[in-house]
Amino acid sequence: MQTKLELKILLEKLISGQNEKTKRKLKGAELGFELILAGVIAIGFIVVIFNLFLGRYFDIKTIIEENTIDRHALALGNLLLSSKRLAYNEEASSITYRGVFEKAKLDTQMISYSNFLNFLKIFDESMVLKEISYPNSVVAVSVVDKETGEAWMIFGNGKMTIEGFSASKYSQCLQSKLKLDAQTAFRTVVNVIVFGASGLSKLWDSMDMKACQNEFGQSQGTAEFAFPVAIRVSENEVHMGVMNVRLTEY
Amino acid sequence: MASALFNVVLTIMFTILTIYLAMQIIPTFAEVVKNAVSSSPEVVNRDLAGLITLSAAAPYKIAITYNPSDATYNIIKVSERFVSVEKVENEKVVAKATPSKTAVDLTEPNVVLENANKIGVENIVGKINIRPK
Repeated sequence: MQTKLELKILLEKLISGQNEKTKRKLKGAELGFELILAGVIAIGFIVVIFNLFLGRYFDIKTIIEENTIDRHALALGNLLLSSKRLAYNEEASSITYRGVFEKAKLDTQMISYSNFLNFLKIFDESMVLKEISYPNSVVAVSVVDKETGEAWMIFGNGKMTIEGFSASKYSQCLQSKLKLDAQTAFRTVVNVIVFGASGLSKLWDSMDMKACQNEFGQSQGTAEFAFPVAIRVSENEVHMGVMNVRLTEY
Repeated sequence: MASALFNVVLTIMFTILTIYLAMQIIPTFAEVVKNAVSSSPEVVNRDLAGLITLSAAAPYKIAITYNPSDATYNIIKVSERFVSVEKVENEKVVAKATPSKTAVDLTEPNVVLENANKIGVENIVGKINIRPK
């Protein structure tokens, strides 16, 4: 009787022990799955946080710091030095002599200080500036013969268009830098909720906004440069001279 | 004593490894930044406008090849003395720059270069053209 009871207890213990083991096994599997899920969620959370709040700091921005007016004035001066309308051109070989102006061409294309009637040309459109000028700019060019004191000048403007004006350029710049990705949308929504309409500024990266403002400021102003030139008066006579280029851009 | 020596060796090894890794990473990072800057549409835009303008200063002939980056492609539009550049990736415009000015007209009034990578700027006796190369 006792042996039977002991056997029964032993059997029950064995069964309960197996159940415990199975349970423990299942519990282990449950724990493992939970851990993996928690890990994936944690990693996902970190990625989202990183992307929303820190991702923008890892963008590479190109901001160009340059003096556009100076660069344009120098380029314009160089173009005028090679212009066939001013520079001496050998007809036989059709070689243009860069930096050597022909007096006869200066008399035709520019306004001579020594000829009062020549000032009427100021109302005519200069062919030189029609061919060589930056849009939305005003140009004044003077050439002085340093040996005789004779001087010539032209004054005019480039093509006027809305596209190149600073205000239009600024709005175009902002338009091109507008960001519409998930992180920007999130930041903008949060900022609009907290700060109101001013939060809309988050649609642009602060560096991009600064770059557009720089561009806005850089595209206005005046630059003046002088270039040494030779003035071919006749076949056997060449004088030293100087060309001044003054450029104002809008 | 042995523990202190082990720490010193470990520190030296760690420092050498850090320097080695930095030497590997910095040039790669510098190359990434260099490519990002040289292929930026703002840079391409200004460079191209400057090259078109200055090509006109050549009294006879000039041919310039401009290749900002082998990996990037752009849509380049030149119209009314304005150059605009849009950067293309996977047939999609990813960045565009505000137009830059040129001081001269091209021989053709409106030029559009699609998917341009290497660009040629030519001035042959006063006739200025740009084309893909």
